[in-house]
Amino acid sequence: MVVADTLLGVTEAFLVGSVYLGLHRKVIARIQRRPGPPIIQEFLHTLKFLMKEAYAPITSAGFLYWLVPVFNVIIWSSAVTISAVFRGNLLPFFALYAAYKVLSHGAGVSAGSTYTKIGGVRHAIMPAGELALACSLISAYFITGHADVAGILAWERAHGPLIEHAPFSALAFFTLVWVDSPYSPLDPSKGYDIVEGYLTEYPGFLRSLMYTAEALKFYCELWVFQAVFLGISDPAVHLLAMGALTILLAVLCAVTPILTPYQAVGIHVLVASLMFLDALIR
Amino acid sequence: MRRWLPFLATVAADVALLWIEWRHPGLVREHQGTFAALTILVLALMLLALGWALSPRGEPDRAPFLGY
Repeated sequence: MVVADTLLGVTEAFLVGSVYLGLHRKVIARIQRRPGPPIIQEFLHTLKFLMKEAYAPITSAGFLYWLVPVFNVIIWSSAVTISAVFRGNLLPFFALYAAYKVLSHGAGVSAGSTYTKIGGVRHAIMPAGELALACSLISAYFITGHADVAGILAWERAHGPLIEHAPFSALAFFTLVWVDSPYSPLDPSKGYDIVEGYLTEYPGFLRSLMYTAEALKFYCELWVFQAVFLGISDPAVHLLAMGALTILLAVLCAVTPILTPYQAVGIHVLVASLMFLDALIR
Repeated sequence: MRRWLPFLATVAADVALLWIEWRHPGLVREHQGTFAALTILVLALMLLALGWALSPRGEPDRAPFLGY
């Protein structure tokens, strides 16, 4: 059931991702002694913006500007379908992540605003993305002999979770998820100086599509992390593990001070270097 | 009503894909990647068309945002 599974898988990823993004916000708020929004707030935001008028700034690149949110949804729906629904090869996941970086740059540039341009460029140059992701997936392949999620899960059933065999790879992938989580101290693409980064000039239902892609991305990254490195294949345990990871990420985001872009990139490179050295020694 | 036409077209495309899967499961299994990609494409366009249909239109003669 390819079509039905794809539709159901992407819908589930959006709903679960939205709720976990809301949980992330809620935990941060509670740590900061605020009541915080309800857990379904991110989902409500997405629905609300879907009914708001969208417009293009006169400086925007027209056609590209309107299609960037659609491409964003396509990229993360594809990543969810390949990795989580069909448990397929992780190389397309890596390629889609790289495409997402190009897209975020395109989102920043196509709006024609200085804020979005700086946000897009900062997001594209973050080395925690492609570098750490590629290295961790390559080391997972060298250890397990499989590049697909189903094969890695089968290997982990026989040999234990991959995090025991490649802890630095798991750390690098976790750093990637941490960088991409909302309010991350390691994410230099948003901040007081550039407002919401490459998202700043996306109003109305275009913003809703961007939020949909964010929810899909959050779900997909958490899913791949705990499938590849924790060896979890049961759907119910998946949801619990993703919830626990979300709470851990929220605590990390809440208690870590915001870093400057140079400091953030320095930490990305440090983690990736540790993992690379670990892979060389092995 | 005209603003709902793109959304209805994407719904029709999705129903057509489901119908093909129901009637010709072997064909869909054989071209799994193509059908999954088509489903995702239709889904993303459906969201865009839904937003287009649901969102109100602003005043046509308002002062334009001139950018930065």
